[in-house]
Amino acid sequence: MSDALKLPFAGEDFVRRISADLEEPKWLLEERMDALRLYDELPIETNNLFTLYVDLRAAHWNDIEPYREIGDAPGVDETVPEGVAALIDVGEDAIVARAMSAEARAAGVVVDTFANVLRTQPDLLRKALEGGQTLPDDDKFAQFARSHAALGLLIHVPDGVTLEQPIVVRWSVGAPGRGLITRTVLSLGENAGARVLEEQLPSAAHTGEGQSLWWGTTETLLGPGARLSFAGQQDFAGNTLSIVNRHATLEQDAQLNWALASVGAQLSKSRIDNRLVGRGSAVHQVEIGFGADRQLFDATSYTRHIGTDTTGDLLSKGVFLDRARGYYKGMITIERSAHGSDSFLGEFAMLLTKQARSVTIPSLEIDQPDVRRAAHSSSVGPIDETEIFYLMSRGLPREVARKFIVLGFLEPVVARIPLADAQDRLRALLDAKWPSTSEAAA
Amino acid sequence: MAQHQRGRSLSELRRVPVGSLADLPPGTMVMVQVDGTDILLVNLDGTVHATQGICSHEYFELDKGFLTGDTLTCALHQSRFDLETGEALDPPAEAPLAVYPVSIEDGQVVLELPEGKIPVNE
Amino acid sequence: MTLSQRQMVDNDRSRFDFKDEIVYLTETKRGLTRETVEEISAIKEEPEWMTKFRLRAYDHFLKRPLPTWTDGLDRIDFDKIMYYRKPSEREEKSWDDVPDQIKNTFERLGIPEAERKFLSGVGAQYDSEVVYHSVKEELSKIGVVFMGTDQALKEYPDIFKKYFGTIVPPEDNKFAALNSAVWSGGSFVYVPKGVEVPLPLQAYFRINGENTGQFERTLIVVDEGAKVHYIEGCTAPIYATDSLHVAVVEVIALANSKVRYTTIQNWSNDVYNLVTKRAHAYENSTVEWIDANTGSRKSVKYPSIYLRGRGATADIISVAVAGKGQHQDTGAKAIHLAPDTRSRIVSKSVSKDGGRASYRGQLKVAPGATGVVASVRCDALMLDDESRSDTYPYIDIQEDDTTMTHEATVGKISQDQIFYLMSRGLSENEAQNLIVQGFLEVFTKELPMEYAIEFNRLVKLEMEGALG
Repeated sequence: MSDALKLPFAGEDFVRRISADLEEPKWLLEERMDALRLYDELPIETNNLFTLYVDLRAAHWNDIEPYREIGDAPGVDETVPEGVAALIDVGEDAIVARAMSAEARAAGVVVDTFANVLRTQPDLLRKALEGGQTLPDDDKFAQFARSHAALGLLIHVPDGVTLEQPIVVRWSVGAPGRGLITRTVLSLGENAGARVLEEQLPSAAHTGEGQSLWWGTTETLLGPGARLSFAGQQDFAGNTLSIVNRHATLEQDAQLNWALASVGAQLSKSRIDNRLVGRGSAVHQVEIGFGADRQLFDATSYTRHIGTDTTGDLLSKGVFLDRARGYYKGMITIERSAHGSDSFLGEFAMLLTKQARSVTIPSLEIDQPDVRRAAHSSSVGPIDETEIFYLMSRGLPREVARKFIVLGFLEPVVARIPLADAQDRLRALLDAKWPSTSEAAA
Repeated sequence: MAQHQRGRSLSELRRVPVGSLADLPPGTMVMVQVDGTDILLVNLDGTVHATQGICSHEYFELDKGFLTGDTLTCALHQSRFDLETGEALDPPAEAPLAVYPVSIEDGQVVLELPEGKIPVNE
Repeated sequence: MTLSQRQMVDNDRSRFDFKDEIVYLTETKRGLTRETVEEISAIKEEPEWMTKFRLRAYDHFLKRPLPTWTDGLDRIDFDKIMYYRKPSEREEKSWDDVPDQIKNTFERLGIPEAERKFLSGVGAQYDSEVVYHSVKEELSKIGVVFMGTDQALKEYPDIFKKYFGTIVPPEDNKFAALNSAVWSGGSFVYVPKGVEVPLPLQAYFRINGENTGQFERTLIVVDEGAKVHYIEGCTAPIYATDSLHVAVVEVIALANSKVRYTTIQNWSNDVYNLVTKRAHAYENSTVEWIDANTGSRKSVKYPSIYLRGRGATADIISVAVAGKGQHQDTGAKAIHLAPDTRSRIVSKSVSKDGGRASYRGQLKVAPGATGVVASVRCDALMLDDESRSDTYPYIDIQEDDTTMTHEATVGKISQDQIFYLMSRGLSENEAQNLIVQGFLEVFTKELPMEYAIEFNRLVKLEMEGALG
């Protein structure tokens, strides 16, 4: 397995310069240097089970120049959109919008850049970041973000605060030859509650030759009793490479809901780590991918049951057209300490063309038999003919019937997105992806 | 079907007949040797493709492999290759197979090969 | 060895007399060198192509690294092993040296005296020769060939050369390379067109010291429309020389044939049992692997079927019982290369007392393999929290009309079930045993009755922890 991750822009100079430009304190530079060391040492894939199913050949790293400075756009929009608690919108290398409702502000909610937080509440950030516990130390991609991020975002909801309206984080990239490397840290205090919607969109600049890059993280810390719903919609342009690490540590009775949809990007590589540390903690995760052309969705998901009576309920659904591929790698680990675990992993794929491909590796490593449930299920199949027949008998043309069934297959994730507008947007995206000429005709 | 390479001066290439088309029915493959180098001939529904005969991943004869759709799968570790371009489609192989232009002349399979060493990827 | 065959031995032994083929040889030294490989081939007087084959395999073995995705194999010291040993020159062990636990197991399993000595390496040749000869007569009447692999190379060179090494090439993995370099012993079976072999062929018939050899190589060729059931192994614990068993089994099921290959193996607890077993199934043929893994320190074995012809069917039932200090790293592979093929994989594992049972499987549908229906079911039972259970399934689908389902569960025995059975008068141990037997029933019901009985007895002993 060749080590195909030679990022020409990576290295100590880059890291030190960014840290200096941002006037970061020593401890944060040390965090970066620790991450850089790990990035240098780690292979692309540390898990022997998955080494064959990593394919980065589509990436032209040499042609990408990452942004080193992300500042405010002239005239940052500070109006709070309808129905939103807070918003931060980053377009290429500029923050174009930053807003927070009065209610959220009064409650002490923080949605801001690392740089700003270091000025106003440095300990808040330090507590979250120091020691590198918010990202996996065996993942080269995570450590790259941790060392090279040009922009960090902190979202913090203090103890006891419940936000009814969602926090929106928006990223737009696509300019050929440019890359945005970021970190997002999400910390919820004890019994806090929040909903976050992350939108990843193509910027206006995405036309033209050349790849663009988005590299980010979602580093989540949930305090005891905290509840977080995180919805992500990725619809980058076809020239974009998207790399993300999502990592969550759940304390006692914390609840996390992931609803993640990937529709765009040439290569979408993600790794999710859920650590169910506290007793009674639970994660519900649903991922969908809808691939066409030569897209590759490479999604790895690790769920580790450590405390007692934890729940891990994971579902991934993929639909593939043309020559698109999905690699879904999962590992559920139930440690000996994790009595009373409830663990379910489901991976389901629909291949709609001859050259589409699905690889699923739903693995389990169990050290504790005292489980409420430990099961996984995977299936691949064509669209059910009886369902098509049923819809056709209701007057729908065959092609429309097929489309309805496929969109229905993906609907459970859509339904979990916390903003009506965003839901509609995703439905429209999925609808638009269905081929207008019948390439997928049976 | 004749497949020609354009834009190359003829003096750099040689044309090597390697066998009769009649011995290579559609859906079959056969290994031939030119200057001691193994070359695989595959007849895909009438079109003949020629690739290096040894897998680019590990030393193993590709004629022991399988025709999977319009691609070739190596028997050893199931690396899969596009027969037209030689591209490695499935791991563990990463390097593509060298492909050689093929034409059919008077029922003979003729390969267009460079003078000297025949290129092969490993 | 089943009861009925033992009876045959006792009654009919006087009818046969056999020749002893004694070949005088220099014993090869420990460790593996090119010379060792050449010597093995020379001793066996093999044709040149086989010598070349062995040497090519040897070269590959040297440069191929150990697999990294399973652990513990680096503990094998390849330099300490003696790679060839003629049975007549085996070290004679004394019955006193055999551990009590093994002796007790023989007792509990009802193994007769003569067998016990043989199985523990104390006896030399075994009386199964007698049974073998009578079976052989019946078989030759219908054209079936069943003999040792070494002998088959000499007597059936054409068929041998046509298929040998084509299903499992030496470069397949490091241990296939090792076996290919130093193989000795094993069975060769050829069933001609249209012949249905009426009785299961048992490797046990052929035990003469070579079958339990470390590097046995089996080749089974079933011609068009033929049908055969081959059974290998027995429930009694078997020692392996140098605690290493590296075997290769190749099966070719030509069009419309049906092959069932049953293995029950219970290696002693210090043995590394590393086997590559694979079948190629042609048009409308059916291949079934019925595979039980108990015993051994570590077993690494993934019976595979390549479905190469339209309409072929693969059926793999694998059970593993991992007790104290054991790692059963087993599973199954179904590779669909042709249209309208079907596969079913069922895996059941039990782990207890710190044992580890891992299922590793591969289901692949290649382009061109349209209309595939495949299912995988793996269930694991863990009896205590010292043990460990893993499932590593690989599912790779490249056709858009495949129907594939995969289900896996891991759990413990329900306390309710135990209490219920105990309330019916069973001891806790008996209750557990009954539940485990029920769990494994999908496997046991595929065995001929005498084997099923012995297998259940074996499971019972494993459950009691009576086997060391």
